[in-house]
Amino acid sequence: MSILKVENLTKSYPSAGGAPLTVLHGVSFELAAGDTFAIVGPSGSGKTTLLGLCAGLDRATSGSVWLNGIQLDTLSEDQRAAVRNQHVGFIFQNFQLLPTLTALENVQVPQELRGEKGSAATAQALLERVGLGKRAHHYPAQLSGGEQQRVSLARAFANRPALLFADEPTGNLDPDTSDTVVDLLFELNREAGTTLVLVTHDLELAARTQRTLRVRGGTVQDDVRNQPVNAQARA
Amino acid sequence: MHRAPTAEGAAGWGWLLRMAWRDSRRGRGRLLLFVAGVALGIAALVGINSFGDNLARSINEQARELVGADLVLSSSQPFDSALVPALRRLSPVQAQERAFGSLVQFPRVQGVRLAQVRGITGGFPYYGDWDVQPRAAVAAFRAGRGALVDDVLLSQFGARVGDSVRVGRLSLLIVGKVLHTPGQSGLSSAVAPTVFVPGALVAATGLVQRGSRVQYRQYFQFKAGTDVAALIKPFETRFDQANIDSDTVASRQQRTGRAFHDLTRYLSLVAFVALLLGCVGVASTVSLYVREKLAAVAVLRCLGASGRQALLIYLIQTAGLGLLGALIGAALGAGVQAILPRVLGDFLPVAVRVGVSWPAIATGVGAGLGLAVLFALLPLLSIRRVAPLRVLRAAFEADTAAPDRCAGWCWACWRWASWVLPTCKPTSGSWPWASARGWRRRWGPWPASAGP
Repeated sequence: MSILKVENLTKSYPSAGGAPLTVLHGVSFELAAGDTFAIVGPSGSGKTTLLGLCAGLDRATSGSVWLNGIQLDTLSEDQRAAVRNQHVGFIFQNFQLLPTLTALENVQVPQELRGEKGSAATAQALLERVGLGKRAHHYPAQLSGGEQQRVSLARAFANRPALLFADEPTGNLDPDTSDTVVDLLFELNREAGTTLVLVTHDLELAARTQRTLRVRGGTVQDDVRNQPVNAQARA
Repeated sequence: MHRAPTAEGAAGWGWLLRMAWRDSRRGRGRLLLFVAGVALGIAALVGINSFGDNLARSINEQARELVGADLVLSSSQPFDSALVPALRRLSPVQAQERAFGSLVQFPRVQGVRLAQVRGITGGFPYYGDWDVQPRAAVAAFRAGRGALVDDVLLSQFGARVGDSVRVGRLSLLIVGKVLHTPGQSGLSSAVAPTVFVPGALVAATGLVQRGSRVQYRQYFQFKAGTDVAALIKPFETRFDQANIDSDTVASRQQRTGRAFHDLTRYLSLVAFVALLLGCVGVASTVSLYVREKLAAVAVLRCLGASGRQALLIYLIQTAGLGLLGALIGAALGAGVQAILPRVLGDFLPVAVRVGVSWPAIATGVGAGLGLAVLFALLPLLSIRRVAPLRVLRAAFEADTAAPDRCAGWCWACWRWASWVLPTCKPTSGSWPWASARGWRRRWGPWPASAGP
């Protein structure tokens, strides 16, 4: 069963010249539940735009996105927000933690939005899992970049998402910290059985997924299955 | 296949309150400006309105002392001899006064000044405390043994009790100094200090002659419960013909009350304009605050918060701060209104009894909270339109081409607050109705679709 289905997706922006600027042209692909999937391409190729559309952060000019069977392009902004809360987890290049909340509170937010009880215990367990149990009451400004990204990882898994979107998760980290975070990401992903969609420049990181979609100039250049050795041995 | 979820998650008011508190942790110092803007405006409003309420109450309580008698008749010419017997029959307790302006001289210190000379016969004042030092001087004055002189006048020339004062051709011993006369403010004593002369000695001054500008007054005291208005009703025509003005406790109460009501109303208007200016500061503070919070709002939207939930988090914050500012302002205002009678004491004809005016405090807190929320709402409304895509592209702006109906309503309310409320007296329970009257005066009848 496909957990993410993208059909003939096009995204254009109005431009000063008059003619709209099209950044994605008729992109289509489908993802099965539990897949790990990388979207790669040079800067300006449209990969982050594609991630935004797949995650329901933006609305396509034409085409459709089905996320866990829900057609996103027919929903209002608030309905898409609710879909994200129920089915999606996020990891961002610049972590996007709420600066006024402690690590624990940041991890609690997705669960609190769902109205779940006992979010503190779950969030604490997740922080323990990413090795930050003792930093639970620290604010993001008191954490290093790697620690912030680990809090972000804990938050992404807090609502037990069906799909996890990661946008350049190691883009702001040094190589050693990157390895730690990526290992943790794949480990948690495997444990939770989440479908992972990874946007990256890093071909080595992309090779750790099962499948890579190469985007250039807003179109799909190729959609290849990675060697199982790469995808599984390192995961 | 999953069903599309409803537009809003299950998080309730508890979570919104918790998030409002959490989010306020940083930048509370900056929000002090917001609190200060509201607090200062409300302090002025509560202080002036409380003072106005206290003053009105004090005028009501001390109206009899303002007049010093139950009835005062006054005229710029001697009372008609045909009318005098009838006036004598009104009450056995009467006092007469002849008052005029004249230079007075203190021979020992060679001081000369224009003063108000009041020649009094009888027991005036019948009500209120005539504060004279030494106390025995009042009896000496009534016995015709000398004059009473305003303390201000004595101080100005370094004269003292026991000296003499010359009024026209008459030289009188100063038997006492007057610190306070019922119905007379400290300011009027300073501008036109008074020399009280025994009525029987006025003729000896030689100042009351044909053509002299003299004010003649007759004071009456009646038995308690006498309906003074009804008593003088039969005389109205004759009073008019003889150019005699009558002043009862009720009429003085009304006249003084109206004068100070107008004063406090004017001061309220000034305070209200200060509050509105404070609220403009509130709006600009919130506008800056919102700009700093865009990234956090985008993250919340990305994690699943609805536009309404995001807005409510910040609206709760501003309402909380508005309430805090209003409460601080009300406390400050209560303090200010305790100080005002001391500051303005010389201008006031009555001693203001300070008390907490709960209607003024309730109105102030309500106005502070309401205006803070109203003026914060317009910049806050933009939070609903923060696009979650900002988490990926910080520069992304939501499409704001479509008109925001809430913002339109908000503008209308701003306009209402800025134009209509200053025309009303924001005190006591009648404020909303006064506001409605203010609207009608300015804009005409309510539009059919926007009735109150």
